[in-house]
Amino acid sequence: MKCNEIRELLSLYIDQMLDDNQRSDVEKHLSGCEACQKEYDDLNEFHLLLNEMEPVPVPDAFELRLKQALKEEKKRMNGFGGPIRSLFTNKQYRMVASVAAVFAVGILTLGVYQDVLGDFADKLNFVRQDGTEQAAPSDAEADLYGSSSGMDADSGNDIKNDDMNNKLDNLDDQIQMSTESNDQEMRYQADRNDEGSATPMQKNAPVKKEFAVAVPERASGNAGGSDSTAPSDEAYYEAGGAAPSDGVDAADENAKEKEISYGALAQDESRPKSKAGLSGESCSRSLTASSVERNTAAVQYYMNLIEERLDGFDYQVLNSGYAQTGTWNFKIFIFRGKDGNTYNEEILIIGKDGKIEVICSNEITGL
Amino acid sequence: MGDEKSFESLILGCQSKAYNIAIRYLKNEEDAMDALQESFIKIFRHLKSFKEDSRFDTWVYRIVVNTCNDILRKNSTRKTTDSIFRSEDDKETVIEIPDSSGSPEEVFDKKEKSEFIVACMDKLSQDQREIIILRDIQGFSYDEISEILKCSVGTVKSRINRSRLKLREIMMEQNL
Repeated sequence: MKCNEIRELLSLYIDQMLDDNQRSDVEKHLSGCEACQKEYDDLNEFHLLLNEMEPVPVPDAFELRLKQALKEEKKRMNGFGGPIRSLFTNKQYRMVASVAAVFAVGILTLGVYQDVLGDFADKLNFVRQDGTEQAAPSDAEADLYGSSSGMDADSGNDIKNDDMNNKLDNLDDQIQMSTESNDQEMRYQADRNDEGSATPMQKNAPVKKEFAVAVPERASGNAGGSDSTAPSDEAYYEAGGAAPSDGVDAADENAKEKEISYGALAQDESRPKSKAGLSGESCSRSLTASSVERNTAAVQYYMNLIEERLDGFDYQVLNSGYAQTGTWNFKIFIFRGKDGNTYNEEILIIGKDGKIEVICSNEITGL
Repeated sequence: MGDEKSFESLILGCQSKAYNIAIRYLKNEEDAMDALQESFIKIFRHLKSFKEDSRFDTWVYRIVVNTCNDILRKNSTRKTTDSIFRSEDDKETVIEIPDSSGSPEEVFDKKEKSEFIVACMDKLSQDQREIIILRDIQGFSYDEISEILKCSVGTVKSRINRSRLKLREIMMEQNL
């Protein structure tokens, strides 16, 4: 073998990477060639020297550095971009991020460009239109409620919509607030129902909405009822159909008057207040039922009759209700009779055809 | 994936060798620690992409080698390291090589010779230097080097031989 060929094999010879034949060829050559032998010695020497170099110990500081870096990396991986980034390789992530950035810049630029061109006004219009569009359903909703309540007032249809009930409850709140300023407030409930357990009819009965209205002259002599179950002189309200205590007595002779519309009592002084408490058109439509309004004089008339009949009694008118049959119902709580006896009884007075009829479960002297 | 402590214990077996590769490549402690930290973070981040049919340690060393080469490329634009006989204040080329074998004279002699060889290695191209580090200093086998550098064993063979011959040539020039 020539020296050039041997030189190509020297490293492999040092690293013992040659097969037996090659190794013997090299050894044969080296024994007869001083230059190649010298070269081999040099190479082998520095190979051994380098190989014998002791490893440099890792600085102690590194452990702490690595811990800190790993902690930060873990935080970064769990934080923004971590889960997304883990879906891609580095190159893919860079590409996706670049495309996203280009889109973001494009959208921003377009926005700025349109603003500069004066498209902003159009955008405002658009927003306004949007607002109208958004408002439209509410109006429709109000109309729907309004008409349904109107229907309720006129035809006594059920209102089963919870939203509607909530709405009415809110309105009741408002009305109550408007009447709370009056010291002598009492509630008239346009619910003809007697006290009694709720029957299945209750569910099918029309939703009874009531107003608390101020009737100063009625409460003047009745304030301070000591019975805890009796209505206090503080105005309150309850949802007629929803309150558990408001059952529909199936045996009631007025059961045929299931469809009752409810409204504010015809108290001239208080009515404007109630109206003032209503916040929107739909509210006035839903609560000041036209039939009730029309019968204001009738209610006043019956109230006068009731006053005459209950003269000398300690009582409180709890609520009133108007039925489509032309009947007015007044629920009245008798604290004391004119004989001075304490009754704490609820009675019903029905006003029809200009006359009133008293219905009470227990006998009360003088009625 | 994601547990730092188990990762630390996993990487511990490769840490010393990885650091020694880095310090031979970069020739100073601070850069070596930076490279090692960067490499380990890369490994931690891409642990999922590690293929189990290859060896974990060679995968780690490949990442360390690539990271060191990246750093060297970046550094080459900032400073030139062309002289093996630097000014005395430039200590970063001198790496302490502990050696406890042999008599004190022999130790001194060996140490001096080793330092001289290491200094001569700076005259090699990065490719040549790299293969000397991996083969002669770190003692990786030809197969391992082919794995680390992602090249064929044939290429490794010829590169090792050429690099050694070149290094000898440089040493002879410096001895004159």
